Amino acid sequence: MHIAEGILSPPVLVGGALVALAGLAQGLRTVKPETVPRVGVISAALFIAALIHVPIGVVSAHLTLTGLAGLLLGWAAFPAIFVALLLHAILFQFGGLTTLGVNTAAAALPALVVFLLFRRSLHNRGAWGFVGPFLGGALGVALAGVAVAAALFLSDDTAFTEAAVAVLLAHVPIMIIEGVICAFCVGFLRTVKPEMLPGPKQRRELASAS
Amino acid sequence: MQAESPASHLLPMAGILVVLLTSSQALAHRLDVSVDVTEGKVVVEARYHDGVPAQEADVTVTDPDGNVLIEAKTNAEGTFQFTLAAIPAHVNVVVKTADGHRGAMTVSGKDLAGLAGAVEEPDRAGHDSSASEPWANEHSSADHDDLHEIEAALARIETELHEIDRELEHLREHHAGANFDRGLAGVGFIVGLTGVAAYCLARRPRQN
Repeated sequence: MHIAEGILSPPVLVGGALVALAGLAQGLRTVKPETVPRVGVISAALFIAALIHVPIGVVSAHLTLTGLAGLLLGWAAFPAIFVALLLHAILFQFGGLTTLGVNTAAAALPALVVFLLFRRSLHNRGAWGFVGPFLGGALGVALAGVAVAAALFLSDDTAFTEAAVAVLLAHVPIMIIEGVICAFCVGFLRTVKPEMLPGPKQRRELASAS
Repeated sequence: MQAESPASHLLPMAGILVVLLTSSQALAHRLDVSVDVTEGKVVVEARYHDGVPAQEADVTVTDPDGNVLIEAKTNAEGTFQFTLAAIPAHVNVVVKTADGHRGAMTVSGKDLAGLAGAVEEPDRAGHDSSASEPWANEHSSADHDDLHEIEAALARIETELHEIDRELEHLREHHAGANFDRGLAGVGFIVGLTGVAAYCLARRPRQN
């Protein structure tokens, strides 16, 4: 979900940039030496995931891994998503430099919401340990779609219904795919590498920097 | 505090990355717009970066002063055709999809001149050929047939060249966009950035 240059109005661009800057500042404060590699790896995964593309009807959708990034990173999803989107804009002309702030905010805020809602499912070994990450992955995509639709609406209120319907419908299959991927990634890490999932103490750190 | 070495983090995720990288045949997410002047029409073609046609996308054609000349939507093949009565210095063609993609292209008046030329050409080739070319009068009708055959062959060659042009354009677009090398470069950049961040953070406790 990259909004291209030349579509949004200046107030929306500035607003998005401010939200992204605030999130980046807060996110960087939560990064501790032992979480740096995780941020880097998730950023690389986000960068690559957007290249996997699923054609659906008249619009073009791709994996985002927003929910997974949120669950593993909390506030630190902001810097991870920012770097991935910056490289998309520079290397692939996906999105653009002026829309970097809006795009970062549209992906990182949903990631944060997913983290706050579903972080307790990370170390749950029961059914919730699968359902939570699944819902997290799906919700991450849905909220990102809503955020993109909102940004388009704030710039041009005539485009809203059309844009919202197109974006959301296209992302229903992606939501399911992302949910499954997110649930399996979390399940895999919980079995193979539980220390990569933030524990209770780290979750507090990632939820609020102080 | 949990003891987590960078290497133990990287291994499982590196595995996932390799799978993702090798499976990413289809690359996405930019809108490419190409404009062709052919047979008296301007043909606009909008495709997502992986070649999927952008259907039902809004096409806006404006002149240099920003006046909107034409507004329309692309068809199922992601194309839209139009003609212009008067040819401005250049026209801007902007294509927007409902989901926030945008592509633009500027066509110069020189290229648009083909609009007028293409309409006149068939006439000249048709009945003017014997009158305007003095040498044609001195030869038999067999030469006329030859001439027509040559003209037909030329037309075929022109169509084929046109196809090749389009293919070349698609190849060029593909080359300019997402590819494996750039993906690898991006991942390398992130790894480097992570290293710098780890370095900066790791020095702090030692100094204190």
